[in-house]
Amino acid sequence: MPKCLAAVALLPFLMLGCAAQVEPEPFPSATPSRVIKVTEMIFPAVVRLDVAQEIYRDGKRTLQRGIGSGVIIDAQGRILTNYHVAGRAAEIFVTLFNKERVRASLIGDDHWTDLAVVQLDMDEIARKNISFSFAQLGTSTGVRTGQDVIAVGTPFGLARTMTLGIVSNNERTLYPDRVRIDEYETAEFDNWIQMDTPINPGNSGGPLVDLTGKVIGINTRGGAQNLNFAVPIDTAKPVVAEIISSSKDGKRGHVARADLGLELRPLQDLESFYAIELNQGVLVDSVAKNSPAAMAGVKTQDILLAINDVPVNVRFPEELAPARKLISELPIGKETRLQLRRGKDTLNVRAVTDKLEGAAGEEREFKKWGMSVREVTRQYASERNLDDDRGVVTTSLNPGFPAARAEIRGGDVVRNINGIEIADLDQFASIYDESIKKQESRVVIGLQNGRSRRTVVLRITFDTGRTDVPTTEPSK
Amino acid sequence: MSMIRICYFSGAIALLFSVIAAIAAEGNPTPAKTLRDRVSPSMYAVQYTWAYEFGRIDFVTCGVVVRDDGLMMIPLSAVGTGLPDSQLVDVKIIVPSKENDEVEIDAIFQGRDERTELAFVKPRESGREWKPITFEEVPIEVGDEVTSIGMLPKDAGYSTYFQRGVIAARLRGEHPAWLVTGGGVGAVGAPVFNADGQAIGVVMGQMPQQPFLHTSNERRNQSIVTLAAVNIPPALFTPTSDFMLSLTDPPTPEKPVALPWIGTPQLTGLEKDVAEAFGLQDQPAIEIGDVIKDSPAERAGLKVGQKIVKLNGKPLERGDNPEELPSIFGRTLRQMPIGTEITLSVLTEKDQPLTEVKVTLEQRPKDQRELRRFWAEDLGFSTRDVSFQDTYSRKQPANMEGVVVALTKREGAAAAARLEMGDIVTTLNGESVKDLDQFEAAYKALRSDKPREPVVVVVLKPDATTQTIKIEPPQ
Repeated sequence: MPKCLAAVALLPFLMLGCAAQVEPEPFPSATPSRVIKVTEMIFPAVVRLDVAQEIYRDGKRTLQRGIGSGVIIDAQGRILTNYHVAGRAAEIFVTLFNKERVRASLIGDDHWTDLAVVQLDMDEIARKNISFSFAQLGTSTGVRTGQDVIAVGTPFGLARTMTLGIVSNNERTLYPDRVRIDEYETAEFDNWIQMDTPINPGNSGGPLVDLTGKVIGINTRGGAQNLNFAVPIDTAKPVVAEIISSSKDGKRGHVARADLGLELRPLQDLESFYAIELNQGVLVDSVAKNSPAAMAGVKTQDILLAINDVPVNVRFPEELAPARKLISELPIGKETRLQLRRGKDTLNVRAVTDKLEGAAGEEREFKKWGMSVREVTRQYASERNLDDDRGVVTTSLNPGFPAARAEIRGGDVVRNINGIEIADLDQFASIYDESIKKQESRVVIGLQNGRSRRTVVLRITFDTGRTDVPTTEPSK
Repeated sequence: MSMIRICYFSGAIALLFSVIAAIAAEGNPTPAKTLRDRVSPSMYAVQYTWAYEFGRIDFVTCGVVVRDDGLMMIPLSAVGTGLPDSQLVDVKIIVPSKENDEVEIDAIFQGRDERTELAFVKPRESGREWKPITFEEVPIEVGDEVTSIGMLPKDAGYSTYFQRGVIAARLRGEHPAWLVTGGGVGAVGAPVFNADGQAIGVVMGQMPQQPFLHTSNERRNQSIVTLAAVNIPPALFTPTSDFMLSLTDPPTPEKPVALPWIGTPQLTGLEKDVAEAFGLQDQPAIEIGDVIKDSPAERAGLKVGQKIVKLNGKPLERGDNPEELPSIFGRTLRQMPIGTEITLSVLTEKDQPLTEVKVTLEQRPKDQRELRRFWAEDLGFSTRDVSFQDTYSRKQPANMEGVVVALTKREGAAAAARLEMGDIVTTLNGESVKDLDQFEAAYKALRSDKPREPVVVVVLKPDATTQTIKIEPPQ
């Protein structure tokens, strides 16, 4: 099958070559015959995803069902889609272009770029003797504003829907707005392809293709009046590779990035204020508490000129994502040289990069107590102005269960249980497990919220006739 | 007022008067009429103007004369605790009259008393004769009949009216209150009397009652329904004993009420299960959630996690539920003078004997409303000095320098640049900001020297991040 697709992929070029006897046009336009050709090429690689995502609500792990799109990217049956479609998937069913339905599982995900990679159940494919093909990934580097593009996906569950439009902008930034998927940060390291191709809920994760039939982006966000956004394929390629390579023995793959704890700001129209040349440096707008940059002595209002001698110039908002990306690609845990301008002085400092963490840490449910909690990450601690990143934070409560009855509230950080200081989620889980095993009917919990500390007592009843006393979910 | 409202309103008033007339027709003046005639001359409409950055709004509430020089108490809920003192101007006492035109008497705002939820105004000139009401601390019991005289809104000519009910229960809480059923009590501000005609309490602000009789704010005025307090009367009043302190020692502009504190702003009343876990069965107790640096509590050695069990050797006053313990404790402390030494009996560890800790009450840090504001009108934002609350909530050192953005004007240059309320401005065009005086001077100089140049400020956001904000002045 892949071979077959490869053959098809050559067709447009051959055709062009024969007809005009000139160089193939770099941005072929959407003539009826070409649209049909592209359709034939891309269609067999586009899938519908029916996903049950794991979410925590009312103190419990529950499933939230949704529909999205995806594109098969290789002969091994890997599918590229959005994080917000399949990133927290507990179960996935894939509907192929030939309407066959196959199980799939999550290989790994990356909320920072809103991407996830899913694996088709190849045993099932073989058993049922199902055929599929995969798409050819193009490049987004040369994408031009104005070129024709096609989106394929499952808007509102309507599988295999094709829509046509143009690239409205090839370096869209949403700065200074912050984009999040629930609590998960996203879209910080890349600009978007903006297109007017009609997109609706369910299109997410589907491919945006040029008129040569190659994937140039992943349709990710839609706005009103055909203001739509795709993750550029050049952003996706290394993310996919790292997710796949880091996924081992059933462990989900992730992308490791470096972090300095800097909030950067374009210098546009501020150059004269900071007495700096145009197109030189980037303004340090904020430095996170306890971050590598803070420990290296970087201060707000410094102008960052270079990282490891590579100049960083951010005059316009569109240049911000590439600068952040440069930092994210630094080796983790290694010393980094930062050249700064502070007032009239130029100074050099050395910072040891951290691994980038999001604000939302790992989450688990603790059924008997009726609460779900999350790891407190450094980022979360910094955003909430917590003293440190120890303990776990309450995310939701099951009404009528011990935690809710003791008036624990969402946002309360559990600092200690029965006098034992809680460092992290694993420790919380082991104390919980032991408490359930010992059938403790009273548990004293020390909480912190903002500047306030307080003590609550959980009253737990154990019905000896029941055997479904739950323990924690295994960590994933 | 629309025709429909006039009809409805005059009909209701006619009904009211016919009831009173019917009672009066039986012979001698009834106690009700006597009371109304006696009390009405002690009740006035009190108007003040909130002169804020973008405009002026008048508010009118009910005042009761409490001293023969015309000192009047008004409900604190009609002034609010957030309204800056410097923006409260043009206080007037309105003398309602059925026969003549209303008379306005210039008055001076005397101050708020958060100990008792009252505020005070006083006529500017002396020489007028006032008839004060004498509030008395007399025993009150469930089953007692009470009457109260309320005041109707401006639409009804600030008429006083009579309301009668029966004391049904005593509610404990931050402010103890008596519940009155039957006819309930008069509108917010109404004095309450027992069967002997003694003034035993006053109706304080309570949801969903309006403390206002009128306002010039059009949108808000629509919520002042002429007969709202008559149709659904308030049900609670505060006994004299809870506000006597204010009457014997009312605030004056020269001597505002100085509130004490010990520096433990995060207190939690212990729920039964928690109390039991610490061996404090049947003893109301409060857990200390935070101790402010350099506060009386810290100096006395109080620590986070300790449980306060006794105040001056006595068990803590209970509320109707443990959640109310901290506010009741707070009220008790608030009513003590600064400098008082209190003894707290605290549990430091489970099953250990209580430790006695002596703490001396000091003056509470200044509140935001006590701070002057500087209105940068050209760029559309208002600033004030940094208060304790600001540094506390942001976990910044108490002596932090800067000014706080108190207000931004919608569509103004500052708002367009995303300067927001609560931002702390730490630098102005590269120069550190110390306090409001310094900021005001630097800002004015900057704006007159370079009126067309952008203003660059660095702010500390409530989430502790910093942000550079460039404000483009209107060209």
